[in-house]
Amino acid sequence: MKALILLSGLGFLGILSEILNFKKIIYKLTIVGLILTLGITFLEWDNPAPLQFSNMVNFDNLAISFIAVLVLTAILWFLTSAPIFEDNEHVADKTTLILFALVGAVCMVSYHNVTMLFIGIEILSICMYVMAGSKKGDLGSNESSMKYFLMGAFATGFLLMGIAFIYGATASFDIAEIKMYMENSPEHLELVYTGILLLVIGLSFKISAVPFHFWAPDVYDGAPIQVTSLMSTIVKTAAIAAFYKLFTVSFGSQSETWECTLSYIAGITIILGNLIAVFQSSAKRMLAYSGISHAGYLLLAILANNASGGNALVYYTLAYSVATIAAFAIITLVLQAKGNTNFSSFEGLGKKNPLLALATIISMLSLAGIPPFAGFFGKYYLFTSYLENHGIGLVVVALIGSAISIYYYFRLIVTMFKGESEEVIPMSGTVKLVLILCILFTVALGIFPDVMSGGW
Amino acid sequence: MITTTLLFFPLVIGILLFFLKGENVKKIALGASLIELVLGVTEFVQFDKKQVLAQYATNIPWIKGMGINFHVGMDGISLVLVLLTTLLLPFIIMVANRNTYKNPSSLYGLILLMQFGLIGVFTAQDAFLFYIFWEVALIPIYFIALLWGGADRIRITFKFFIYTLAGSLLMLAALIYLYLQTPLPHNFSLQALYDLQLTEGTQNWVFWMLFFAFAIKMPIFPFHSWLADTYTDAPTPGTMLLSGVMSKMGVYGALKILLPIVPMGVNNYGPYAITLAVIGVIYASLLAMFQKDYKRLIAYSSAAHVGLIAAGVFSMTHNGIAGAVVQMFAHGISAVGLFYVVDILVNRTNTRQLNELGGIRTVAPVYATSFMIIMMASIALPLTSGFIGEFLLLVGIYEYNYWLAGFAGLSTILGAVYMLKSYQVSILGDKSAISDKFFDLVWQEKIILFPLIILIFVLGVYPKPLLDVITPAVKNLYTIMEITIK
Repeated sequence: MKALILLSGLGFLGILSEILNFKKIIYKLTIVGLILTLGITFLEWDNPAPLQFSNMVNFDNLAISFIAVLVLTAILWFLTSAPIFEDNEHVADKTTLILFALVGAVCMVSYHNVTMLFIGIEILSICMYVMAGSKKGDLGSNESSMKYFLMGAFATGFLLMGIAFIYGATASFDIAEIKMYMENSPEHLELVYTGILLLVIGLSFKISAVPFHFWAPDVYDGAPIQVTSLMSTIVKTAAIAAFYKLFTVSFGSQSETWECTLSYIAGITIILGNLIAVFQSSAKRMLAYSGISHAGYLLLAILANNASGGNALVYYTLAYSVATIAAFAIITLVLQAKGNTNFSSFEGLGKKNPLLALATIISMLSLAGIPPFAGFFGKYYLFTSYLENHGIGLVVVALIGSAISIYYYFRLIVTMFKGESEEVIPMSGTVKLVLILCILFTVALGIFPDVMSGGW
Repeated sequence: MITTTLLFFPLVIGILLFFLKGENVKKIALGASLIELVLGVTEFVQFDKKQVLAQYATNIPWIKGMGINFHVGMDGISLVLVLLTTLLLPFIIMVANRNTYKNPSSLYGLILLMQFGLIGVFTAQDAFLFYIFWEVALIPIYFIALLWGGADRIRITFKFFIYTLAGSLLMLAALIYLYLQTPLPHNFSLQALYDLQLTEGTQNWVFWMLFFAFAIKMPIFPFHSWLADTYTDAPTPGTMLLSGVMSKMGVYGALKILLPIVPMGVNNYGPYAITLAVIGVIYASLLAMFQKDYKRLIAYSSAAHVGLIAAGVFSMTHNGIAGAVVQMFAHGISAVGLFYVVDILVNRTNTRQLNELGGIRTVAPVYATSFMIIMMASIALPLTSGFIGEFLLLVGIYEYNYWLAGFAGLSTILGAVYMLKSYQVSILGDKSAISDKFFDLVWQEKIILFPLIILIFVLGVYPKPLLDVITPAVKNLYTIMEITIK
């Protein structure tokens, strides 16, 4: 609750900074504000009255955990993305847009009313459409923004239609009331089924699951790299959390209607995302496709349809976000030094840049799901939560997918030790700090996975 | 407590080494490995042979929600392998000291991290912990081979990594399945998995999933294709870690996980496994006969020996299993010795090609004699360390099926053929131009080789201390298997 207000306040401060001309310090102010928000978020743990604003939002422990993941990711992201706030052009606009995107994300993880979900998605998406096009002179950035907007609007249409159908059957937007309706032998089944199907499509668009993923690689590739990093961490976390909440709470009792469809989507997403990632020659694009495959793994938590699926999601999104932020920070450094993100630009960098090499190794091992790093436990929790009430079939598919993913994640590591380059990549203090933090997080989360899996 | 110390000490020192520079690194690494050796020997001496449960155990909850405990301890079989690891590490580090590697602090750090992973595998009493260490051990050796390997290292290490990781993913899937079969609240302790009452059908497919993981690691024919390249291409300390200790991980996994958890599966499909193992023994021996590259030849001979060990395990006879454990220990020593004498050869002559060598005995008699003794241990001559293990293994396989024993026995003959032939060509015979530059062992090399030779004889003449701890552990394994079969 307080997090939502604080973040909105920070956003307005961003706008004010433009008017009152203190935009030089707004970047630092934002980071301080975010750290404050993170602290205050934890104070709300075990909230006695989680439902607020006439049951519009629900700040239960699951929502609080997701907010913590989002804010933490945002802090790390701001620290790595100093370059886009340095050129003094539209600093306040960018800061504000991202803060409001974060507000949207918080709404998406804490909604208790489907309209709130819709508002959250829209706040988040509109900010991201603008951010994707924030490199105004760049053709790729413009293309990315346009594609993202068109596809996003399309998905929103599906989503809204789905919500309308569900409302038509249940006469309520409240997810608890929808749940009651579903559990007590629903009457207008045709409306419910159509609604659920449309929601599956709309939300699959948002998390870029196959076959609704076509926008993702181009958008990720064209957008400024910092924005890509944001899209594959915060946006994905918020979207999957919203997906999970809607389907396990409201439609949990109707699981037989959507389980089969979603299982196929998950399986195909995992295999296809990984397979296409193998053939990429640019590290940025490779991460975009690997992000698609991770969406597939995350769907397992929704299919698990139980509380441990939610725990697994929190853990996985945190592990994934931290590793991804580190990976994008590394790619940004290489982009600045070499001008492109092709694999060939990484050749030999491991030899003279020990921190860069270590961060790459650990984040790639974590993304590939190799123990004892955080990514492994993320996958492990997802798989066990799924296995609690399902057969082993989809898990085997996911394991095959992980085996494929090792190829391209390792390719980046191997490339760093190939060739005879002696180049030293310049690194600012904050980036060093972020890389060290990410390494520590990834290792500590792997050694003490229990910290994250307390009950809620 | 002592097990925990033994486990984490190399980890701490290993991480520390990454941040150090200069010549001190070598001394610190050697010192650390010697401290480990002292700890290992202490454990061996104080081990209570009458008690069958894991000793020196530490058991604290790790991931409570999942029923995963940090549970380490040692039974007789673990003890032998921990002793082997702690014993070989000082030698491996001394060998690394003899060569100059760039960026030594990372190399020594990785070697010690490897020791951490290996001891973890051999002491874990919790299936999940076992899996974690199984993977942890893979990462350092991958980087050792990748960063200090030969020309084609990138392709080769990649193949090695994907191969072994694919196997371990299968193991993970099987372990999670078994975990979900344990009574609520589920837990991963090996004891709980031993107590499972699995149906025969389940045991059959779980057997294959686990078998693939262990077969790739050993490796057993036809999963061996990563071996020769990786062994040849890795730097000598890496090769020693791979063949001396890491190849035992697969056998240990079979003994500790496969046999006790799915005995009916082993009973049903053991014939296939043992046949594959024996085929592998003959196949690797034949390949070794036709190698021109000395390091490759020893790589194949190592594969042949491990194949025989695997055959002993799957024979499920007392002698076969006890022989397997003894032979793991003996093979570790002789493999490290062999790879080291070849390393000396390569360093002085800059070639591994057999036909370019010859007549080394005339210039370096001490070297030639040492080589001969280590080779004798490898081909299992009586009074050397190799004999007792190989003898027990063959007895065990004979008890199982005398035809298979006949074929497996061929390996001893074939082993003698390729070893003696290569020795004859390279060390005896006419002096070649390259061999002229050769000089005899210097003291640094002697302090590596002579202790190994002493060990070879001690173990060959008096293997009783080793057998004393192995026999009760093997008996215990039998009781576990019989309980599960009922």
